[in-house]
Amino acid sequence: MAKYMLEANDIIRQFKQYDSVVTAVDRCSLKVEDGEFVAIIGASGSGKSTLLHILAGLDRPQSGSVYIRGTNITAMSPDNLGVFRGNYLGIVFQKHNLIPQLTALENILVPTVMCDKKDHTFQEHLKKLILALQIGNRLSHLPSELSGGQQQRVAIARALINRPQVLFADEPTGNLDRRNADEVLSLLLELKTMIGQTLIMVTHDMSIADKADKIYMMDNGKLFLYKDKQGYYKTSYELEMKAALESERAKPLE
Amino acid sequence: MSLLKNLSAAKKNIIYNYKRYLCFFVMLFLIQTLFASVLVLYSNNNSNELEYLEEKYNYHLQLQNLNDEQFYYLLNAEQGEVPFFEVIKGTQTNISGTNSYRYDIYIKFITSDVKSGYESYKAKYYPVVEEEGDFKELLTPLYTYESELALNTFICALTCLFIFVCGCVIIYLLDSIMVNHYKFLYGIYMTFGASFKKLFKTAFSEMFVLSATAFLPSQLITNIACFFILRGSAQSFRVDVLSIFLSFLLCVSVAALPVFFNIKSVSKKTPLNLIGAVDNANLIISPRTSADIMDYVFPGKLEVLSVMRFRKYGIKLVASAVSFAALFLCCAYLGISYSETLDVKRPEYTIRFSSNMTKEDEKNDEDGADMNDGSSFMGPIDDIFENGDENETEPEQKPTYDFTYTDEVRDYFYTFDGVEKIIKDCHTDAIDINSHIKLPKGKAKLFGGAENENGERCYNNVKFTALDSEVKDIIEYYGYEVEGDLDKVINDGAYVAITYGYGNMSKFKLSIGDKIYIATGSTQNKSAQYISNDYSYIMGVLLESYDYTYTEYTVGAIIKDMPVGEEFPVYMNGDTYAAVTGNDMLFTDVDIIIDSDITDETYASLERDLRHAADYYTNMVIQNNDYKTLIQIEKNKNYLNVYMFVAAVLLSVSPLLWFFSQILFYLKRRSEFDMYFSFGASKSKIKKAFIIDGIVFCIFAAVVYTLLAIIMSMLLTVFLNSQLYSASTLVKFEYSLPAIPYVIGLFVTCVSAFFSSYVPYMTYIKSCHPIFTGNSFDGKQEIISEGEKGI
Ligand SMILES: Nc1ncnc2c1ncn2[C@@H]1O[C@H](COP(=O)(O)OP(=O)(O)OP(=O)(O)O)[C@@H](O)[C@H]1O
Ligand SMILES: [Mg+2]
Repeated sequence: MAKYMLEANDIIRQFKQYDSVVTAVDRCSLKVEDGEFVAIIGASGSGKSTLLHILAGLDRPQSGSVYIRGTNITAMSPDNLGVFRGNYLGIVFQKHNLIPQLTALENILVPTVMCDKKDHTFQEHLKKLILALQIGNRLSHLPSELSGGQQQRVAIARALINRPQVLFADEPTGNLDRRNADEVLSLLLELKTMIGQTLIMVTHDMSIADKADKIYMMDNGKLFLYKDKQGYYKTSYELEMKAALESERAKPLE
Repeated sequence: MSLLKNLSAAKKNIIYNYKRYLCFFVMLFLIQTLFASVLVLYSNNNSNELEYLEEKYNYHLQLQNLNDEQFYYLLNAEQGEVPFFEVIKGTQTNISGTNSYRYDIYIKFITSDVKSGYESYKAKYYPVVEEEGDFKELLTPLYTYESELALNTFICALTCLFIFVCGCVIIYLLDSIMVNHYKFLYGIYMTFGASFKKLFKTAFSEMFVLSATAFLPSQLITNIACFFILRGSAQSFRVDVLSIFLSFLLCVSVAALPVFFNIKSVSKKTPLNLIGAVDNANLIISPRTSADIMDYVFPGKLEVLSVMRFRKYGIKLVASAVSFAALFLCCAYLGISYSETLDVKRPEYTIRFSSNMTKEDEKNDEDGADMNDGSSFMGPIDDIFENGDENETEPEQKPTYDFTYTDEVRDYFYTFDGVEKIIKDCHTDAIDINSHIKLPKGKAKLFGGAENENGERCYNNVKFTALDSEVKDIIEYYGYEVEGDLDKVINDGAYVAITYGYGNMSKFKLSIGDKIYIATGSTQNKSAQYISNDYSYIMGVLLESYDYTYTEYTVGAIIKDMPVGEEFPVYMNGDTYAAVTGNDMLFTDVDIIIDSDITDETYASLERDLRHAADYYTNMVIQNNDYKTLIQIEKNKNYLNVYMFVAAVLLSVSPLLWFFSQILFYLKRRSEFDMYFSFGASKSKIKKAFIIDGIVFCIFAAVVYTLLAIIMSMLLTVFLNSQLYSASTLVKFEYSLPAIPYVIGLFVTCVSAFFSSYVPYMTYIKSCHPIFTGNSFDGKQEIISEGEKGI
């Protein structure tokens, strides 16, 4: 077993548009241990979603590598990667991305259909998720008939239904009120301890980020450790110094 | 087990979303019908052809002009243990003007393989038979049937391949439209673990179910249609089980192959990329700068802007839909050209008067009157000479014996029933007399011939051809367009007539009054050695090895639309012909074109008449080309119908692509129009937006279609002309845009371009909703809550 659950090295992701190049992720590296809860914070447009997509194997970086459970997923064939995602990874998209023509329940069940991962505890697990996310009375509604927060909770249920080892969540509480946000978070944390899940979450909410083992901060494509296990917060001064030292930006890559 | 599960899931999905699959169903139905009709017609045509031939000829080999000895030798031949031929029929004919007889014998090989029968016959009997006399051997189309069969099989396989490729392209296009529509869905599925295998299994099951659903209707329609087509030309029809299964199998593979590649390419993309396709985003070309839409009006300029941003989509759609309309045009054009070739006048008989024969003057003229013709017998050899009675028409005045074709001979031939036209020819190949023609600089197009050191182009693929008023009459009979005056050429030896080029292609830039030069003398200055069939190459070698002297002639006429093969004629009058070639103007080659509606009896009597004539003119050799039978067989095959059927199918693809693609496209633009609606656009403005789209597509498609139609049919004409001149019969096609197919194609293109935009408007307006529903990329009425695209 690899030392880290997830290990990313020097990831670069750029978007080209005619002659201008946007470097959304600029040589980011991070290591996440098994069962860790990592939060990524940062200003809007700093590249958090892009990084998360790459870590979850949904997008390919121009350079750098991502290891999950010791497997280099950037080198995997698309097909194997698909199966890998289905078996080990779960994702909550920032824009939910529910399938509009499927009901809430059907949306939740999509991952199980994709990788035939049903065992005897499955029904129980499903019930628990529905109960905790409070979507029991909306299961036969189409996404367009759900509120934004309900859609988000359906998306979370969909990500958790396969009990993934690593859950990637892009602002899973963005559309929720304080109480609901806390409930969802405590559910995520409960599941995390129950199945030893690793959780990587992008959030704007500092009160949620505070509960994390580690906090990373993204700024203009660069990733800094903001708080580590010892609970040490880097001061903004230190971060600025560090940024100045690493100010040289990645050149456009092919 | 899992296969069955897949199939039943696919069935359910298709039933729920029948609207989307309708178009696949129609296409697979048409493809299967095409395969089935080609295969069913192929098998029926083959058996009908054999039947027809067996009815026309119950023999493989005809031996003509045997003497007594040869005849009886063959009749009583000891064939050994296993007999390999049967004598079907024999005829005895008095040689006119003599007391002797000539015999014909009709042989059928009874070995399983006619070739081996013929070979054994050759080995055993040929030496005896061949020895003396005018003996001639004719193999019938029944004998060549087998090689014909191989050709037919090849053509059938080629046609199936063509349909296969076209079908794959069509299904690929349709499927990629569909897959594009479902990209978001595939992206989500793949995010949660779907593999290529899983996606393909689902897609394939659907295609299989669709093909299977199309099976019964398409096979029924094919067999019923073929039944009526064949009955229409009095042919018999049989149901062929193999064709049915083969066509189904082919249809399934046509369905599976494109789907495989489509899914493969989708599964290679990253899920994020696919999810991004949620709202046509993948079809938009990102603009360099934002337009200043402040002073735009809606729909007007703004919609045009949208169309421009979606140009990637638009161009793809127009290109694929219009190319099928253009393919339709080509296919119809091909069918028209094909049926034209069947109506070309072909010489049924080719007659040669061999001129190197010494005159036989002992021929008595006295008792030519009682020619006893056509005594024939059938069946067993014992009841021989069962006399058939013939009402022989006696030529009023006997032509005098001559060794070549004269006006009297011509008049005599014209007395035969069933003769439509006699084509005479007298030519000398330039290459045989080390001659050629030379064109002044700038009068030849590029390619062909060889250039001398002065840059003048020389051609040795020339037939110096004698022209008299009868030959002129023949040119007029064929209806070739003649520029200039052929009479001038006939009357004035300084003038010649020439064609536009050769190989059915325009090669010269000559006009009336231009000079051309004919090599009439040569001195060798270098030994010339070549092994080649290539005229241009030989010409080049000869130009280097010889010095030529030339005589100047003036172009008096140009024959425009005549089919010309590898060698082209230069016409000149008799004197000039003699001067150029050193030969007398003797018309030794005579073709006979028969009446197109000739009856079997007249045909038989014509054959008798010609054989009579051959008895009389001892140096006359008749070759029966059997075109009447061969063309009839070809016509029986009804290929024109097949061409038109294929054309119709190709055309039907065009509206299918338009509507399928546009309806799905506008489904994804629904939320955009919802937005306009919620910010104050009226229904009539939204209607206008759709109409603008329709008009833009309509104009664009019409222009592209016209260009494509002109280019493709032109290329086809050039191709047909360059290919068909080498066939046994020369045909030349004049280029003209086939008007009716063109108009049909244009009409279908414009109507479907416009209405494929307008129809989505009508479905949109029925259910438009002023409240923007956010992320839903297709409207609710679209949604069927169970198992959409279920996996
Ligand atoms: N497909 C794309 N094409 C071009 N540029 C892109 C694309 N996706 C993202 N970007 C750019 O990459 C940068 C980072 O985007 P990203 O979505 O990762 O930001 P974010 O940190 O998630 O922001 P937010 O907190 O608002 O979600 C942005 O500047 C964006 O413009
Ligand atoms: Mg984001």
